[in-house]
Amino acid sequence: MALGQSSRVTVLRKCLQITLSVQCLGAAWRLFTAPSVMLELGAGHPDAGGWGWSEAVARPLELGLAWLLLASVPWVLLWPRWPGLLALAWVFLSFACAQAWLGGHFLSHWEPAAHAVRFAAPLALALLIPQALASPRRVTQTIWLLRVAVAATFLAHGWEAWNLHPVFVDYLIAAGDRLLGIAVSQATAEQLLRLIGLIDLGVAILILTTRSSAVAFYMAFWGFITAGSRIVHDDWPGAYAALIRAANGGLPLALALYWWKTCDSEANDGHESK
Amino acid sequence: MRKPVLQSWALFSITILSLLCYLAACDLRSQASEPDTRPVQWRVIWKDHPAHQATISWSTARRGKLHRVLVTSGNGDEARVVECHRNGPYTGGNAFYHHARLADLQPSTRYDIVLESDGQRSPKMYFVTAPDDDRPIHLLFGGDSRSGRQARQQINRMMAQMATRDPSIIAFAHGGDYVVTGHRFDLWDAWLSDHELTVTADGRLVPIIPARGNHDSGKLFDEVFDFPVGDTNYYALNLTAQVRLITLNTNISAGGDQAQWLADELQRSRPRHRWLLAQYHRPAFPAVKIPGAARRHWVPLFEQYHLDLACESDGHVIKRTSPIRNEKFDPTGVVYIGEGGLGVTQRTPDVKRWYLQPPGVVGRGHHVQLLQFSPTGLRCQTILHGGQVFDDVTLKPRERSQPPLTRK
Repeated sequence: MALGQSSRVTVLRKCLQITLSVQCLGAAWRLFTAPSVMLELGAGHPDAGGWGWSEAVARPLELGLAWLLLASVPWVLLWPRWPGLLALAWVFLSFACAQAWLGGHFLSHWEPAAHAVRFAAPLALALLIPQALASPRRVTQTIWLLRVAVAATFLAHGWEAWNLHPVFVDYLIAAGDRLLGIAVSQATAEQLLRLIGLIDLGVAILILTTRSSAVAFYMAFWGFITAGSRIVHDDWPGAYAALIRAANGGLPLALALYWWKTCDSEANDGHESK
Repeated sequence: MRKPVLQSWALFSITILSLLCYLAACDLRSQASEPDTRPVQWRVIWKDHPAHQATISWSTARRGKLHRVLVTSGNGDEARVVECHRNGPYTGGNAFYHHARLADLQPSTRYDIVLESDGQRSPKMYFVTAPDDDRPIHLLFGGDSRSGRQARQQINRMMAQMATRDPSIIAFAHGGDYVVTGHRFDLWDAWLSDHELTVTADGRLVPIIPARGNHDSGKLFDEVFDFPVGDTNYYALNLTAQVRLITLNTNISAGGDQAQWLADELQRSRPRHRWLLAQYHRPAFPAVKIPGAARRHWVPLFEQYHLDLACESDGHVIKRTSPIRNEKFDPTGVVYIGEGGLGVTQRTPDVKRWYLQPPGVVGRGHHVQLLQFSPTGLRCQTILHGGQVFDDVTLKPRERSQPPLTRK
């Protein structure tokens, strides 16, 4: 049974709202837990790319941001407005750029691509609000934004996996140990990671070249699995790391739900641009 | 008549001054355009068997052809010339590294060295090999020298003064984050030059025991410290017959081969050494940030084999945790110290964390840790820049018969 365009846009919007809300919760939790890359940027030494502010200034600002993100959780669900959504997109883009700028992580310069779904989620939602103005053209733009963002995130993670990101190796080892009760050797984990990397790169291309809900559903499934792997590795204190990655699964899920059951009746979503 | 004389004097003076200026400029230009092979940025590196082996390393501005170390034992009994086994350009840099591995050294022995590259020589310096008996020794530990260059230089000078006053300081363990971007040679170049400041007043090179930090990614770390290209950078060495230091790498998988190696190493070393300690960069029990993978993959091993002390960096604060076992305070547990203060801007620690409560301590300030090993205790002092002692605690040796715990 195919859904009407209006219903599908509603589903898309609701999915984005829930995803972004969870992401804001994770980000707020993260900032309350410990100083983040934003503090490093603000209070870091200019030699190290920081702005040299006093920590007494930078940390309260960071905590203020955490409170704003926390307040965004119900706001995004109930009363989202485009100016605020643009601000959220800017915040999440800033996180990604700061990590790339300050370095210290495996393939740091890929961070903006790896985080693309995080700052694309509020942007996509902003395009669909208010719903009355969500013209077919704007919906098409939204879908393309989501496709590019999901592709970028999977491309970056695929590249990191192909290059054997050490944290990913540890996640596989921990998952084998804690979920399956088997000892996964590093060599096995690395072989699996190469395979995962190839699949990620493959689906990143597919999401751009096809409108397959099956591909999008797989990406959603894998996005949620990889986000959840943080809890498997770090236990519940690390749950914010999973929440902040809600968009890794949430955005492909939004695409999958939008495309689902429309292939036969609407010419494989070709109506997006009608 | 006086006027022409004055004019002649003025003309003569101007000519002479111009000539002098020209010659000085030529000399400067010559120095700038023809960098020499004068050895600079000297260092001694310990990675294994420091009682018998050491790597002597330095840099030159030109590639050169013949690089060697002239070695004389302190009492003059032995003299040898050791050619560098490894020379090459620093990746992305305009200088060249040279590494000479010395082997078959005598324990606790002074070796005078002169570094020579194509006939150009360094000043005469010396280093002392590690003992192979059970004598008391002192070790410096610190991390995070990646920014705040002026403070880094001050701390380096302080370490040189400490080592000058205290010949028992046999080495300096660096917990990582030497530079902010490990791929940039200009940053390493500055760090290497600043490291020269750790040489004591009488020319003693304090050997460095390097760990890799999260900002030290790239080939340059291996080139600076003579690790094979692509090395895993984890290793263990004996500082004395009874003190063993394990260096781990938090930039690679913690739970894979490294964890297996660590388990084997701890199982083998624990019964043979009174003092067993580890250094690595990203903390398991951080005072500022969130815990690294060490918490999940290494801490259970530390506790199983009763590690005495874990030295951590990365947080840019001062910390010493309570003894920890099974995620709670336990007098039989493992103590974690450090967090890095070799120049980086200090942060504010989160004093509410349970493992930082007394008897743990926490604070901020540029610092280095002085670890003093003896048969009766391991004294851990945190020395602030300026010499003030921030923290002073002594750990008692564990029961030698203490068996490893069964992992849950």
